[in-house]
Amino acid sequence: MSDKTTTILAEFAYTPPAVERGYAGQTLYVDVSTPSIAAKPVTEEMKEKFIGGRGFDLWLLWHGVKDGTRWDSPENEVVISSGPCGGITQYPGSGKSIAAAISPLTDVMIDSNVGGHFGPYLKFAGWDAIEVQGKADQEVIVFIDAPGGKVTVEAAPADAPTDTHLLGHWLLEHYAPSADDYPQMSFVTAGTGSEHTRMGCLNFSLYDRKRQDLRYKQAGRGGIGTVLRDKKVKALVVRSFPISGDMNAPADLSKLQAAGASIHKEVATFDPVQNHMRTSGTTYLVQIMDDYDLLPVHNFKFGRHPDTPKIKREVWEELLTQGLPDGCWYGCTVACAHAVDGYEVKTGPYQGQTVIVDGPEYETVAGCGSNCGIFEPWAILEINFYCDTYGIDTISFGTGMAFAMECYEAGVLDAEKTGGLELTFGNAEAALEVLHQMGRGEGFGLIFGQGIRRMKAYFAEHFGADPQFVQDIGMENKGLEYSEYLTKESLAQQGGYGLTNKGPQHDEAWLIFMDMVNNELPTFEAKAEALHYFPMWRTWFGLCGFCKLPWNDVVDPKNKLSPEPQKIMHHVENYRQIFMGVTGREIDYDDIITQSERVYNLQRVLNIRLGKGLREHDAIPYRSAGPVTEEEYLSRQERYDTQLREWLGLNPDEMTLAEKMAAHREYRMDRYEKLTDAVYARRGWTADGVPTPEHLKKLGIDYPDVLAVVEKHL
Amino acid sequence: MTIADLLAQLRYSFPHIIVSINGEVITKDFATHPIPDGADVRVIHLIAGG
Repeated sequence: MSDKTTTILAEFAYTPPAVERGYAGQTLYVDVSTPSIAAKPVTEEMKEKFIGGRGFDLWLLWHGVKDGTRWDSPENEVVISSGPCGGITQYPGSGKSIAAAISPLTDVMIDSNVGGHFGPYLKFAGWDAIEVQGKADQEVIVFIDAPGGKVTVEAAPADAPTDTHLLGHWLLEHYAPSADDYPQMSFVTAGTGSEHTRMGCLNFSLYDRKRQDLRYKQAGRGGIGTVLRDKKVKALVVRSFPISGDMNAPADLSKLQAAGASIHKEVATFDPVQNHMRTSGTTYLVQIMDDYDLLPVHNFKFGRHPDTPKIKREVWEELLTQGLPDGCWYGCTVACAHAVDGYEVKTGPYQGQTVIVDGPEYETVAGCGSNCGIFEPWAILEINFYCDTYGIDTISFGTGMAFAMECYEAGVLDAEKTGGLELTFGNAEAALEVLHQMGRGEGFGLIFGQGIRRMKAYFAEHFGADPQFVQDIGMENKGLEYSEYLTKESLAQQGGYGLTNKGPQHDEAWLIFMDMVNNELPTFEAKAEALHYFPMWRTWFGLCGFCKLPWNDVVDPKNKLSPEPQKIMHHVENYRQIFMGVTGREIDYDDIITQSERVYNLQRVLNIRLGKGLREHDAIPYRSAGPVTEEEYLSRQERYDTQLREWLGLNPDEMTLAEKMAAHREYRMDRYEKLTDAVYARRGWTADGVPTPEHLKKLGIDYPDVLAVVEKHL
Repeated sequence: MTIADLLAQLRYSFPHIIVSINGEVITKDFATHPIPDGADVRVIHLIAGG
């Protein structure tokens, strides 16, 4: 280590165990208050019922927090786990981790999936999960040094930077014994923005051998970076062992190889004619969403914009560096983790620096671009870079900024209230200045950084805003900002966002085409079935260490002729084979869903234990369901008038605009309530959204402390 | 009108699409496959995840 002069505050010696069938067999507990370090065993019950990843995060949080724990309580934890299949190299998208904590935005558990090397490296260093609890009284770094056989909590020197793009290089220089070790290093960091806001993200590093530089993937959602910085943890550092293809010691490697051979061929054949992720990541969605009137524009008012071609996939393909193997984990042929190299920063404290900008992904382009009326690629890149290095979630920033801009244009805000910033749609410079204020912890950025839910309350209390108006247009549920899809014409997706554990994030369910375009879910019961199956199936990725993209973003066209084409069962079979090949456990398709149901239901009970998790917390803002303003209604008047005739049997020619909007509102919100009833029934919950004791028993998670929580609400 | 013409008219740009004409699933040659007058055309989008 070149010039490492940190002070050791706590040290724990260990011998890294051999990973067997996907598990290291222990989790790492770090209390940064004391500080102290300990190993906890992974029991057979944990593996059987909670699998790993989000399941282990949940299990550790359940036992680590108290009923009254809040995001900034010392007992809140940052928990990270990959899963038994995390770290395999035979199948694309198999290096994911799930980070979790009690969220500063929602006051319940947030789970956020992320690529990068940290999760698999943590396991290969001998730990299936890391659990960080307590609050340090000085800045600390947690260092897991597997080759050195120790874990340490160290005082971070005063010269250690906080913003990720600087801190990463500092950590490489100070913690890697030599440049030969760079590929074995990975870090979890946040940034100065995480310190001053509730929407802090975590950056998970990967050392890019081709670029010989660090790259980052983000666990963006829910403010886990804020929790990390509240604990005064500057970084989690792991030094692992050189990677090989059998480090999980799978029960049957041939199953992994067979599944991998199949999918690699599909990706190579069909990605170039389908979504082009190997050249431009998930940006292919921008123009498609616009074509279907689903791209969020001007705070979700509209679904398309004439300037969308300025930020469509082909534009990003030109800007993103081509020809490099841009996977966020080894062996990923989907390789969607692209970057813009040699980007010269144009604003803020790092103006003039030449940096790598990771992404942008669809959510960032739509959230920080079209939703804010910003159609300039440089501005989206600049926001992307600063969000990452400051440790800010681009989705919460984009959706939050869109809300603030509409408030400005509606007169709720003005230049006096924003400190001179004209937050009109399309004003990229003003949006960037708010972002820099979040990094500095000053001005309007401090108010903005509290998130939409708290902005609503602040604007009503201090700026005289109409509480109903800001509630209607502020796109948050449970306190979490919406991700970037328009849901007004898809009731099922309104449920996909609202009837969730963590809030409106598209990784639970994306049902818009099935529901809105295909009309395959014509009844409440059909929508409820989809809102059971797909959230459970997608939860399973996060238990095992998988990425969702190889499941349904590249598909052999022959899938069209299968009995259930939306489920893409030949890919589901790949995942089943991999799970059995790694763990040696025989499972069928129903077992997959049951494994997820255990985690999903216990997470619901944890939310209830924390004072949330009931029906009232699944309510959605009206803009998620229908047009709030006259401008919105008139922009799609033919559609809405036709719906009045066909759905409600009304004659719009005899109604005022106000009457038409009121009729839509009553009808649409009533349907959301009926959907809620159907979904709760399908999931085995009461009408108030509480898992029943019978259902918990059926799932095998009827522990006394779990039943004690739900019985108060029956 | 071909299938491709119809999809373009509807702005159906998503790549995972099934088209059936009078109950027969068409899997290729959208650009040249004609749609007969009065045909029952169904277009199904295959995605369940964003």
